[in-house]
Amino acid sequence: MVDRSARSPTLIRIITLRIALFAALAMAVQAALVFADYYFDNEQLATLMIERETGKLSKGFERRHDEAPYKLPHDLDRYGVQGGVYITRIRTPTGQILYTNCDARCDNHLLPHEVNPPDLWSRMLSDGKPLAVAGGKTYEVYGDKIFIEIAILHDSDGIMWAVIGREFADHLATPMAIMLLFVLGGTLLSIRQALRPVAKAAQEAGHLDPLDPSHLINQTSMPREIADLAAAVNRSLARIGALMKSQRLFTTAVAHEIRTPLAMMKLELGNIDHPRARKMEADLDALAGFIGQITALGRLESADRAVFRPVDLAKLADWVVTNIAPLVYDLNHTIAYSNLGAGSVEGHASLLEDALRNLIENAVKHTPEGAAIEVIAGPGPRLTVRDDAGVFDAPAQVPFGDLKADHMGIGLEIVRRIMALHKGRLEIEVEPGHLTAVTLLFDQDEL
Amino acid sequence: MRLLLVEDSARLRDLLTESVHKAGWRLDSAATAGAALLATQTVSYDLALVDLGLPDGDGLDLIRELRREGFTAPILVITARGSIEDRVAALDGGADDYLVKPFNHIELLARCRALLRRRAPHYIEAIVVGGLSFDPTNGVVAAGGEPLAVAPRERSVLELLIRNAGRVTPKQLIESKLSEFGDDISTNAVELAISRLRRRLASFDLPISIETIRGIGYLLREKRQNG
Repeated sequence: MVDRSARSPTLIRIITLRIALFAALAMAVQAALVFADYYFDNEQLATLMIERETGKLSKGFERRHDEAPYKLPHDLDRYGVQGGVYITRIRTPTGQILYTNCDARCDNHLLPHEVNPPDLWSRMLSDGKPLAVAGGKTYEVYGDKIFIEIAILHDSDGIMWAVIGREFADHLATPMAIMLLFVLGGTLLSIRQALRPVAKAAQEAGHLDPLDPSHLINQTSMPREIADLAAAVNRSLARIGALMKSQRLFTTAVAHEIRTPLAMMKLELGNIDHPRARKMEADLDALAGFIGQITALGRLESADRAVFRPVDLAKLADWVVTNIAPLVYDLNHTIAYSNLGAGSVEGHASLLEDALRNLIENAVKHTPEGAAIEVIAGPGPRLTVRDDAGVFDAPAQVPFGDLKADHMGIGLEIVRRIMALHKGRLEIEVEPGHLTAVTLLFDQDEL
Repeated sequence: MRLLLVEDSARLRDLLTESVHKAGWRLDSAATAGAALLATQTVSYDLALVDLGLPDGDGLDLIRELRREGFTAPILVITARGSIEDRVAALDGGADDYLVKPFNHIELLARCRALLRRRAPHYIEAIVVGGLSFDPTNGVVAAGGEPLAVAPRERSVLELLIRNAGRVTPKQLIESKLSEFGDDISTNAVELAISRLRRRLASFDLPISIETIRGIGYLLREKRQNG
């Protein structure tokens, strides 16, 4: 079972993280440049501080027709303090003072009353940070010119940093966030669309049946790179199919080549009237049985689900019991058959015959003489071989994997593979000293 | 009786020839499909034994060709291929029986006799199983050399069992045989007939037994010497 927590991250996740990382790096570099640009350019910084503060002070004229001509905005209390470090003077071109918190320092730092100031001016009051500046800006309020002048003698409220922060937001964070959103969104959308055929191919590959040569990944409407990958997978599947086919041919050819000399040996032994010849005949039969198993394995290794046909389980069991009964009685056992309505399954008749025959042969070989073997077809899609000896010294419902090869040899391995091929399983029920029941269970709906 | 053997292995041809000669039959052998076709055009055979793996083609194709050419004698396939598909393909292709290698003389000759009887009802060799014999010419069943006095119903069942000795005789076949006597057969008519036969044969102490294969039929078998 795949541990999902240990799986590799998706391509979308990798690309999202990479884009976010590089965007963060780009922003950091850009931020450093912006910061340096503003921080070390005192004149520009002073102008920006003057513009910011006078702009805020100009808000005191809004909606004040019928009241006092100017009221200091609430968030500018620093200009309401007499003798503070933030001073302002708001006047008309005629020299009328509309608002001021100045004392004698106004005259020291601001322009004289009689001077008609430029639209925007600023000057440094001292070197070093934080900046101490003076300046002013001309505004037009309700058709009249108003001069707003300020001086920041000591920037205790961090106006300079607020200006730098505002510049960051306006010229860096906002445009880069918008760009990141579009780049990331567009990239992810493109990748998702490009990966759609990959996901489809992966889904198809997950359902591929290596035992069915007609199962291939459909390359229609795939981008070229992914189609190349799918073609490579299909070529690999074809190679596996060819390998399995040649393995089958080799195994069955070897088995067939051995059977003819075995036939000669058996015929020759038949001409020798001696008890040791009979023993050799028995050994030869065992060898022929083993060859049969090898042939069955060869058939199984390359079994092709495309050739599955409906198999009537009751008919199959009837056929197998009819054919194997003489052998069972020769070995002094008995065999019986019951049909409880097994129905049909999709399968490979020859392989299923091999599976049932193996179970019966195992029951014959591994029980004492006189054991009664019963083959039961059904109910439902199942075949059971039961004997009344119960020679397995194991608890009931033994998991298949716990049975050692020593118990049943290659035969049970063949049965296990046949059942896996038919999407079925093997169940073993043991009551020591009483019975052993081995059931071929098909996890298919009855046909 | 004249038989044709089509087998590419010279050694196996020699061994089978020896077995068939011991049974009192003549045997011509061919190593290839081509030689077999030629032989059947000039000689009339009572039975053909055909191996499926031939050097100049598949034995199955040979069987089909023989049937197309009008060869009507029974064909027994002797082959290393033992899967159900191979057997069905051979039987559907025109073969009459199928024997998977390796096999012994007794089984081979028994199959040959069965096919010859089917081919030629006048073939008069008695069938013998463990001291029990059936003579097709007069229908006499003998046990230990003595004629066995049994009712016609049981005798016909015994005949069927002897003809299928060593193989399971399906119960349906026995029921069908009993129904030839005209009467309605009861549900346990077969069991009754078999029971009577067993009792009748018990007094002869023959090395045979009639086994019940529940759910399938009956098996007349020769008991093993050590079994």
